[in-house]
Amino acid sequence: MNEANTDFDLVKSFISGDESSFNKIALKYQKKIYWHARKMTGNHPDAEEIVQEVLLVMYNKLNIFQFKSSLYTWIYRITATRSINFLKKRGLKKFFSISDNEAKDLKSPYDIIADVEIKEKYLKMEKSLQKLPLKQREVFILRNFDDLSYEEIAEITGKSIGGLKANYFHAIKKLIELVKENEK
Amino acid sequence: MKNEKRIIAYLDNQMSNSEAKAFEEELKNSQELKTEFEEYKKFFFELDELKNIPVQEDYFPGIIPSIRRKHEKRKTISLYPKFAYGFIVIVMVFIISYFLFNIDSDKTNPSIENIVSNLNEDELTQLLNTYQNDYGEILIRNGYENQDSLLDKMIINELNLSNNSDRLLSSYSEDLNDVFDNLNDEEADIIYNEILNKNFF
Repeated sequence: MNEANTDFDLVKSFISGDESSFNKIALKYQKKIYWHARKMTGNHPDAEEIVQEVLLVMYNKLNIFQFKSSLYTWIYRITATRSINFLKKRGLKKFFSISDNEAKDLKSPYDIIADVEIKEKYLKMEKSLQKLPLKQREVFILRNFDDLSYEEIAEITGKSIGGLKANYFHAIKKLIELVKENEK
Repeated sequence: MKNEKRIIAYLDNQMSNSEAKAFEEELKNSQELKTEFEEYKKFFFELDELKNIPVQEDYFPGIIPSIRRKHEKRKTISLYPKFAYGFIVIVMVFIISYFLFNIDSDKTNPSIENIVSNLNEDELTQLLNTYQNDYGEILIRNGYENQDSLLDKMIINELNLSNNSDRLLSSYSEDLNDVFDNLNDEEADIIYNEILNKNFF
């Protein structure tokens, strides 16, 4: 049985009332949702909030999912949209109240990354990612970390493949520049 | 094509087989391209290391139960707001429909009092001429209980008298009525004969 069939069976089973099927779907995709949101937002608490939101949306909307796209594309679309919306809202909040964000940054030392050395490297990369424009960051994460094809990214974001490639190119260029700056 | 574009296209598997082969050949011969390529390769290698990061073991298995707990909490908390919203909606519908029906009834069935009170004398006269059948009703509703007062007004209008003449005419007709009431038959005959013998023109 291939992956698509498994997803199909799980969704059908969930729609027919088997709650445990939703747990299986969530277990299968929650890591991908978390890491996408984490790299987009740049911190654990915000990523955790997005994961909860996405899983709740999935729970409420799976009954109308019609398999016009693959389940993981659908989940990525929800995750990408929620992440962008979250960041826009956060930007607005930051604009109107700087002190709130500063307070949040200070009170969130908790992180799920276990290894200290890897954590240090990861946080460095995460910080660089936050310097990219939203669209470039999104495309870079989907392409480089989520290993999606340009066709799949185009389906998720609704952008043209040419535009996505341009965004990816500019994102890498900018990140390489940031690495060079950090090494100086 | 600039080096950086070709390097990224190569590392991103966006080159055709022939393009990739040509690029690899060039890479062997150009030190400058090789240095730049190594830089990008190192960057991607470091990113690859960060693809599968070990995390606290209990974190991901705990997500679903915590969401389910929150979901249940939200359901119970959101029960009261639902009632509140429902109540507000009902009140709003009631208020809006009250105003709507009132406006409608004013539009569809305007009262005669409302129409008449907003008319000047000329418009009222015109209305009376047009709707003669409803004449009596309009008179009564508009407070013209005594038809004589309306008749007086019409005479004044016809003769172009001032407003003060209105009072004079009505007081005069009231005095005359008193005189008529107090006349006996003989006196009435005398006056009648006097009028008959009078040459007015």
